[in-house]
Amino acid sequence: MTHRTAALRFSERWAAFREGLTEYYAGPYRQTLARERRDEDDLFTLVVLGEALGVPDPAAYYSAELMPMLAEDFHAWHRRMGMPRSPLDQMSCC
Amino acid sequence: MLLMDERRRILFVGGKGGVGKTSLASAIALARSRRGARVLVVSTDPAHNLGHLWERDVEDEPVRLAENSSGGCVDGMEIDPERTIARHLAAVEQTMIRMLPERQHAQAREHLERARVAPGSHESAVLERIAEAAELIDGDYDLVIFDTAPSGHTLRLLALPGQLAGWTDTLLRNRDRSERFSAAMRGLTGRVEQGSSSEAELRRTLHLRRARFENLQRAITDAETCGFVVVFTAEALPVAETLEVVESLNGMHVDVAALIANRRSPNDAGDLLRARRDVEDRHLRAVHAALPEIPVIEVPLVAGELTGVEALGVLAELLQQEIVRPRTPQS
Amino acid sequence: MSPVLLMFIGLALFVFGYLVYSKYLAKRIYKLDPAFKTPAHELNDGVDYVPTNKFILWGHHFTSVAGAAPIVGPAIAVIWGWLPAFLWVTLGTVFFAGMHDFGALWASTRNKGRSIGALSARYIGKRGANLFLVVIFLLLLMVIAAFAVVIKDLLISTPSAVIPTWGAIVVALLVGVAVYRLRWPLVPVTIVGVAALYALIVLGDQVPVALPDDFLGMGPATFWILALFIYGAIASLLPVWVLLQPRDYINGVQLFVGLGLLYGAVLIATLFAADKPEIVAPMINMSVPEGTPSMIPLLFVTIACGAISGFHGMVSSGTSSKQLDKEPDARFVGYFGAVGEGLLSLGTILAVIGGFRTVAEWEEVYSSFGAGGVGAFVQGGGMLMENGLGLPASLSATVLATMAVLFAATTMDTGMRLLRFVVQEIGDAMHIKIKKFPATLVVVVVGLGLTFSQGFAGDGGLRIWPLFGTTNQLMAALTLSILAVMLIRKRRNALPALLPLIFVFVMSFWAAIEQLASFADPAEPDWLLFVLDVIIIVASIWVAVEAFIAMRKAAADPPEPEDQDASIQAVREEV
Repeated sequence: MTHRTAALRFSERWAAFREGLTEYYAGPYRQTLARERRDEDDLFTLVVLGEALGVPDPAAYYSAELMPMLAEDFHAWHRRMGMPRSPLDQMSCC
Repeated sequence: MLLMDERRRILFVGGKGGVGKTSLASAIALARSRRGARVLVVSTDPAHNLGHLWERDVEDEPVRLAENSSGGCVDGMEIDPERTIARHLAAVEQTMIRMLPERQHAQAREHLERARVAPGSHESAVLERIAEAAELIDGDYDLVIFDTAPSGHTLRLLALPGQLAGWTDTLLRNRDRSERFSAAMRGLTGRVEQGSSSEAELRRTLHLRRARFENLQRAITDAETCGFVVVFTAEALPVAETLEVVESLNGMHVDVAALIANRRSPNDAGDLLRARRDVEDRHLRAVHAALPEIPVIEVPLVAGELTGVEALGVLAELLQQEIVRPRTPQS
Repeated sequence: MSPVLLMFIGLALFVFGYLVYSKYLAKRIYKLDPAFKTPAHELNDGVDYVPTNKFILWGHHFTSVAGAAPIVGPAIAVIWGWLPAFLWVTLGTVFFAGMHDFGALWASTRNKGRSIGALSARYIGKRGANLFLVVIFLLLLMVIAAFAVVIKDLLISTPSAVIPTWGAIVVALLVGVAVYRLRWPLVPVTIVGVAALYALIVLGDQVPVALPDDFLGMGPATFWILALFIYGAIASLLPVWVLLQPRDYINGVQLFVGLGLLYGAVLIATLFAADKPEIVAPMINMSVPEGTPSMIPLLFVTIACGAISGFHGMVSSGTSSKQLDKEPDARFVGYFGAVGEGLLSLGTILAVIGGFRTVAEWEEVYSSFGAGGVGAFVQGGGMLMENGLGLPASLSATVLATMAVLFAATTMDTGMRLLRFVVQEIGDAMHIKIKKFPATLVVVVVGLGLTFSQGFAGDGGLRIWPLFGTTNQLMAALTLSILAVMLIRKRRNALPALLPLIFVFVMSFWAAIEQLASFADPAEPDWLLFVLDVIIIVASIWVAVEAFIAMRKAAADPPEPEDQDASIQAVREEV
């Protein structure tokens, strides 16, 4: 009985240690990595929304499919791109 | 015989306008069906002739054109790009409505209008249907024959799968990089990012797309399964164009199964026609010299209107006689 | 006298500081409230604002602030004897650094995690923010130049460290790939990485790399300095997960190992060695070598990190405050973080005074001001480790030298990266958009300029060090004045901030003036440093005046309600 609980506690501590170490690795650079991720995402949004923004997109037929999934971040995105108001007349997020 | 080779599951029939593509495509279909194959003829030419040829109403979905006792059949289809686009955008609209709040629904619809009228949408839609049709060879049909638009359009269309596969690849790699950053950011105390369901759906969609483009690309460059048949008449302009088309197809690694010299003037129907025949012979020699490995099938000029099942049956017989010009200079 | 005795006295003082003084600060002065909603919770975004376990946060905080500075400073300062250095390190940590780091963390947390720059805008005035930028620029510049020289000296004096230190880059690259791309589990990767590093140390000990006097047309010193700047530029430009992130990680792990080795060596040597270590350095050096500046005020700027350092305020408010889970954690993270650094400095002192066998040996090393520096740490520490742990002196020296170089190098590459951001920010303020590569180029050129201004072999290099200390203290003074203003506004006892503020300010200002004289000395003038010194003096006066005005205003204005904080826009985002 005591062996099992001791082992259990040890494995819990070990798991906590491991996660702590991971956090130690990841923490300091999280912001930088988040920025890079955001850049990738912004580029993606730009490509997919090309046609709607007036940039001719030969793959517009296929980009259209991907548009609904961008709806969530759209407002934050256009703000970041330096457009204070929504560039799409149809998307009135602000 | 070449065109009866049962390993060929997909054929593209192309050539200059007016050389008899649709007729020959249909004839090939009929010939094969008489051997027991289930064949689908798909017209990708915006100026559809299929219906007129078979004297039937052919639409955007397969319509039975002919059947015979050996179990074979011929179905026909005329691709309607507008309808395809409409269907596609309707599906997208459904997704958008699912993901957007009520008040933005009207706007979502307006949003999609842009894509409807965008340049390139028609071609993409046609490509989409071609891909769908090509996938039917695994189940519903033994052979799919595409009656294509005059050469230039078709060549561009055939190059699309490769290009679009590249496009989806770029986007997928972008998603991969983004996901790697997300993963790197996670830690014990970092709340896991709302692993958005839209992100997952995005990837699924992109993967499906890429799979489809890659499959199509593979199918059309598979020399055993797929072939291109260039139809021409033995005259100066069609011959010149044929040579260019073959060169382009070689560049795209699409196998040219055969060339069909249509409406060959007969030797025994008067001086005018004989003189024409001599000119045609000269052109054909040039073709042979330029493309020695590609078989040339000659089909004689047929009297009367070539419409209706019976007339097409005659044409089919003529094809099966396989008059292949020997490689000697003399006729 | 045995160094162990000193060690225990020092440790006792630190313990006292943490248990007694920090508790007083927590209860009476900063009034930490467990119910207060920290920015990590209020603004939680999973990226910057993330509530973090206090031990991990301490780890981050500690390893970011600890580095080569707490080693270099004390190593140089014992030229005045061990007692002054010891007292400044211990009492400084307890009453100054602990209080300062703790306070900076508290101040930032109470202001939605804003940085010192933004805080200075709020509490001192808008001009404070610009001042901040100038001071940061100079601080980073001097750190880079000073550390380039430190590393160069070590690579030349301890050629066995060449392979491990440059090999460590490869180890970091591999760790980065393993963790980021291959997603291998961290614990085995860490173990292998550290093992690889130590294997390299053993290798380096066998294969020392001493460059010939004419290498590629330049002397070894010049070559190393150039190599370092090129490395720094590349490291700061690569994606962080490639090099910087694994570097910092391995560095942190290393720090703990190194501390363990050092203290362990002292303890074991005293307990078990036949030839027990003795403190050979004089208590107060009555016969300082010629040219050594006077102890007061220079002691206080020679040892900055390890006693009090403004740089830590930046780290506290830059990241740690955004990750604080509960306000009471600030005591552990901030105060104990400073204590950790004090431990490193104390360990250094023990190494450089107890490692050498005889006074004569010690005097040889400390033949002039700056001559005994990290080199002394490596040598002395090496001998201590040999004595205590049985590792041959040269191997021990390699271990310590590698450790010191890696600390300094990570500070250098991070410093270059931060400096690049500052350059871009200055560009923004002047409405010029500066992109990554040109900004990095500017950093390299200016950095090399400052370093080489001390001679192409960077011989006079460590003349920058006290100036670096002075600038560092200036930042500390800025932070302390912000703390004072906050406390005055809340009508709490501001003495714990005011007294250190006055002391630090007076000492660093005095030191700046004295250095001015030495830079203008016709025998050995250094006009570049002279100009920098002038800028710092002007900035100091500016800080003093602004702070004084702000404090008077705070006293005159109606008192701030207990919980009123943090509702003002930041003037400038932090670096």
